[in-house]
Amino acid sequence: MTDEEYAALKKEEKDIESARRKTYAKVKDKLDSAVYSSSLGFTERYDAYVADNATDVLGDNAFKMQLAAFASTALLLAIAVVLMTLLIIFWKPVTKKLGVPRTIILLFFIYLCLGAQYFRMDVSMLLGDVLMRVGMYGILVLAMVPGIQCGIGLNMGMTIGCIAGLLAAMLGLEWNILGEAGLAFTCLLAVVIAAPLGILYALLLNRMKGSEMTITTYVGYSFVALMCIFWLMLPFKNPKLLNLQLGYGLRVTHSLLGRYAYVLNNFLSFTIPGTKLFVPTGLLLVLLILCGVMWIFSRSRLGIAMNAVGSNPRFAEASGISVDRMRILGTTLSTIMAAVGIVVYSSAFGYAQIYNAPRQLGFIAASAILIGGATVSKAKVSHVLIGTFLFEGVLTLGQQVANAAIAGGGLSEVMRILISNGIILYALAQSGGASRE
Amino acid sequence: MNNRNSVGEHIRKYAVTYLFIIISVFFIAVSGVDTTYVSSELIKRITRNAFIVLALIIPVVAGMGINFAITIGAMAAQIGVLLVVSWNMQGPVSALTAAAVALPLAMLFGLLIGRLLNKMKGQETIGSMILGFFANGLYQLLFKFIFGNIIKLNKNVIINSNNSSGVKNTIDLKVGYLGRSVDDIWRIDFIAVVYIICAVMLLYGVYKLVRAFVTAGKDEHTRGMKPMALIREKHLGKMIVVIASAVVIAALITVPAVAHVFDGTNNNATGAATTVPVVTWLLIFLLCGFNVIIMKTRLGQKFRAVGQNRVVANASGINVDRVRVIAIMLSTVLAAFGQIIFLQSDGMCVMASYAAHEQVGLYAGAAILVGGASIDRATNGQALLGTFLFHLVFITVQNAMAKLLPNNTDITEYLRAFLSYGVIAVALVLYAWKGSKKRKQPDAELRDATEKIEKKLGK
Repeated sequence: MTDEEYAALKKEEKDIESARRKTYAKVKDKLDSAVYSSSLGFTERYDAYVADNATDVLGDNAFKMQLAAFASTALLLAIAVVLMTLLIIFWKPVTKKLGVPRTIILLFFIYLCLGAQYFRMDVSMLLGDVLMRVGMYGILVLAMVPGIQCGIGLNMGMTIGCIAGLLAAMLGLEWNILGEAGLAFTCLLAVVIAAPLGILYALLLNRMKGSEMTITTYVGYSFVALMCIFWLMLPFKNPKLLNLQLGYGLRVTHSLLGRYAYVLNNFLSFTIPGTKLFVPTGLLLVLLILCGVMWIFSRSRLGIAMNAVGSNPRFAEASGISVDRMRILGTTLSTIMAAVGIVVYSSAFGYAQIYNAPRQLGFIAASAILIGGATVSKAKVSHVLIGTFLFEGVLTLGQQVANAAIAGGGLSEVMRILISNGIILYALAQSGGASRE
Repeated sequence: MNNRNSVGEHIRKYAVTYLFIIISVFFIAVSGVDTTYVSSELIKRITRNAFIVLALIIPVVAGMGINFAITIGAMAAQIGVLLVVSWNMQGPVSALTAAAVALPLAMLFGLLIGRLLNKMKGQETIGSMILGFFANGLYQLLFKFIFGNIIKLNKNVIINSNNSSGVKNTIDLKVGYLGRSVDDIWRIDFIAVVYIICAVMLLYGVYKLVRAFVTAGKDEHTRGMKPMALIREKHLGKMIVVIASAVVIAALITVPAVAHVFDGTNNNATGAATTVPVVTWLLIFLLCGFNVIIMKTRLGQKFRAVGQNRVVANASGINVDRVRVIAIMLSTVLAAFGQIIFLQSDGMCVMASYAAHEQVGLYAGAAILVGGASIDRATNGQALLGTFLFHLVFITVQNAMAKLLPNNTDITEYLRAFLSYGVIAVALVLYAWKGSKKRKQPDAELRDATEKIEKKLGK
């Protein structure tokens, strides 16, 4: 073999080699993407290898990669364990400050966040949902505050206010008042309808001091049932609202799309860059403004007097405050707020639901404010914000995590029932008992 | 006290009862329902529900209000029923087994409910209601996720599907298995039952009268009295009424035209005679007897003492908390038995696994309040009358609404819900109203209490 021949051969080999490399580089991506999609993160990639029984492809690094893949899970587990340990160590001071149920629910909330991370959900998007639901339920929960402050306890009969609000919403829809104006008009109308109802309801409650919670619950229930009959009977004419089969009577669910759905959600709303956390600014702003008004009110002379009636009626009476009048004020305020709350809720939800839909709202609001740290005789605005966030947070995250963990669903509903009623039972057990002997 | 005042008092006390009588008369007038349908349906419904309503009495006497936590007793019963169906048991044995399973569960639940309600004295009504809701969550956890997954059950009660788990939504209690297992032991015609009841009433009245006359001779004070004077002296007027009404009812029922109204032969649909499940009725009467007898025992006295005034009861050495727990345990166990009777009864024979217990407290509570019971008083008579009136309205409302608002099926349900909730609300409001009036004279109450204590100490 001559040198020329050898050189030519060598060159040819080089060409072939480079060509092979080029093709390999081209094919590599395709090969890889056959095994895992390039958009996936590291752990997903590892999972894909495991799923294809191809861990030996990874060679000596398999064990390290395995460790790395479990690292995130291990990290979550570690955080959970550390939190639990910390809680057990500092159980006394923490529960003294937060109360046992709030501590447990807070821990549960954090665990749910970890769980969502474990199931590789987008926690930022879930938190956006939580914010939205805080905005939806916030005013309804806030409606509990004047009730508790004026001494009627948990106002389960706030459903009366909710129905006043829904009636206003139905009238607004009947007259086809749309957009921002529609929302404003409906809120105003809700206040107008709720005020006299609230006063009547307060007069009733003034005659039966001491057992308000039982009575408010059943008065609320009966009012919802009574209104079910009225929803069927009231002479609404707008065909968009009516039950088509019967030709009369309102439908159960009314879409607000194209009317005033999401008006507040979208006002000044933004998504935090880099995440999917959607902030419904308008909704939260309204809630915060109302909370602020309530806070200022409870600092005013009138508010302080009302608070005195709630925390110690005998002392209030002795210092010349008219207990009955303060109770009327608080109950009416609560009813009005519930009316506005349900309108905002419906607008943010996109649908207004009547008939039996508002029946359990009193329970939801009561649970939320109790989780926030209120008792049946003391409530602050901060309890509303904390409680609504925790309660809705646990429900929203819980629903997603429970669905991911167990097929078939239904677990989140069970969780809602247990948390919601458990916290009310706890509050009742704290308030009653030997002190009433 | 003059007469007019006491009539007003009476009407105020039984306002809800009279309201329901008026409503039922109105509905019957509007719909013109055929009496055969109403009477046969009414017998079925009373048979089905009376036991549970009677289970509410003891807690009321013990001062714990309407025990809405009987839903938890119903849940215990449904666990028993589920197991029995899963084991494919047949006949009366199956009902007994269900009761045997439910008994320890209901006792345990009752203990826990009682303990919790002791922490919320004065708020038992709402507390027991919310406790019922809470327990419903645990019940769903058990039925949806534990039965079928952790605790294996027979395939006939479990959902066979990949994407859902747990107990089936409706469980068929087939006739011959658990279905009608108590009802079908012995049935007799309704007319015969009427005769038997008349005979019992007659014998009872005559026995009382005869005994009074026989003993009258032995007593110095009443010897030689004229019969009328003796009757007045011994308050036997009631017995005369009992005997007279027994005779009148028996005479009326012998008239074929009257009998046909009730015996079911007029019923166009079936034409079959209306029958009465004797064993179920006997159980109901047994429970009535139990409620009467237990009030005469030491335990019953304690119930009453605790119900009247906890402070006084405590001062006289009664363990108030323990007595209250016993009252709730009894009520829960009885409610569990009642729910088994309800589920197996004629016309049901199906268990809605996730819903059958939900309305138990509501309907039973409403029924006993309709009968004129209140948060602090309840008797067998009120419970039975209430069951009768409540279900009479429930039956007639359907036909009345069908007449008034044809092709609107929802309104009946809405009206029923309104009546149930409304009755409870009105009864609670009336009671609280009375209470707040009473509270305006705290001196009188205090005086009463001290007098009672002094009396007890004096003894």
